[in-house]
Amino acid sequence: MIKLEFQKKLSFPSGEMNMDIALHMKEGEWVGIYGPSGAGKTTLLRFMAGLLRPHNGFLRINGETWCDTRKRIFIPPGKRDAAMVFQEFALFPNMTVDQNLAFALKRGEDRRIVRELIEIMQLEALKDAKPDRLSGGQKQRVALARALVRRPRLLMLDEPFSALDDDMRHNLQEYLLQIHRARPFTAMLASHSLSTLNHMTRQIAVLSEGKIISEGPSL
Amino acid sequence: MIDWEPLLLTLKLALTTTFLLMLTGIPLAWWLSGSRARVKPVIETLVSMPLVLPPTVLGFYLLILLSPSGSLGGWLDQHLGLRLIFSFPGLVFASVIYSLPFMVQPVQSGLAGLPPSLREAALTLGKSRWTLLYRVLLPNIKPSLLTGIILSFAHTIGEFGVVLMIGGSIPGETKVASIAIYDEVEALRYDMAGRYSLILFAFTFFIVLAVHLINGNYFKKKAHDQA
Repeated sequence: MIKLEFQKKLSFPSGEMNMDIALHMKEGEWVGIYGPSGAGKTTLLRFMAGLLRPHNGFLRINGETWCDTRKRIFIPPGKRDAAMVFQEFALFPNMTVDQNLAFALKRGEDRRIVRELIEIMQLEALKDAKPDRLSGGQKQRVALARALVRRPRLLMLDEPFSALDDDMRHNLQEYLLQIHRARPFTAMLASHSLSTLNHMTRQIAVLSEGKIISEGPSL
Repeated sequence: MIDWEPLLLTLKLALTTTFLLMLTGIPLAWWLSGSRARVKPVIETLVSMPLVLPPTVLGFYLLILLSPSGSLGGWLDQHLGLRLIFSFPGLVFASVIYSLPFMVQPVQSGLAGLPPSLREAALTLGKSRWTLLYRVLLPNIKPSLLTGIILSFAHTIGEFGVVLMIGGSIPGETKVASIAIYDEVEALRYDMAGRYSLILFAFTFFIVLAVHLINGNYFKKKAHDQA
């Protein structure tokens, strides 16, 4: 079971927002976070990845505490068995596609997973290209592949299919569900597309102005 | 016949200073680029002081600080047997402080201009902060890094006031090219002063020109035009 509570006051040019979220989810499931821009979807994922410290809150993965403000526990991002696909891709401009993926390997780890992912994501022809030569959809595939190299226990995806055409989106979604069946991980998928969330997830939480306003099974 | 010793000493001083500035200035620039500490504006001001302060003022304070009767100089003399004034290590120490803004400011602004998500992505991939710096951040600010390195190097070559204050003009030890020019003029040997000046002018001109050519992507544009 994954349990989290997250409270934080955020300041934006447009004003302030109080994030106050409590969420329970089964480990190994796909969970959707739905809401308009500025609802706090990315902020919630950043908290789970360890990129944002809450004012109050905790995050427990099957009894393992990654963050607890009361007990002053905070496991840094790199020590969490987690990976994140950033909305803006965050590919390293100085590295080729192949090097971006290889950078995610642990020290001394076999490169086989990199070769596999390059093939599955149809990136063979681009593996020696730098990110500035790639289209938005290609960058998104590389970002997704790089996160999967980590084989994480918790995968956070921030609008991971937004720049893909219909065919590629369908292929990647099927691939993700396939590897999830082979090696289950918990996935948090933030999106403003209900059809994507209904297809990929079992549980959807609807966020508005930093709070969960409804929660339930997907269709 | 030209005495090459001051020119070689200048080169040695500039190379040593630039190397030490890479070791100290880059981590300092990194800290400044991401810090929200209250003391940050004070540190930034101190780093920038050599840009506006007359070199003789800096040289004077360093002379007081580093002389055997000064606080740091006395401690170094007593515990390490090290005398920094009127010595080459003293010139290096002063040069590092004097050229600090030329390394720190370009690197700091380069790092601050990178998207925060690059740093965050590297951290979520389990990389240490040093791996993040050397494999992700610095390779993506190459023009800023190059500007910092070359300007620090060129600025050290052009030092005069600080060197004169704490180094004097000891041949082979502290008599760098700029001091040699001054000495030659004082001795009315204008032809020799002219030779040193021309060499320094040409050398620094080509260094600064290289920065403009590389940072202006001149070579890439040429290659692209031909393609």
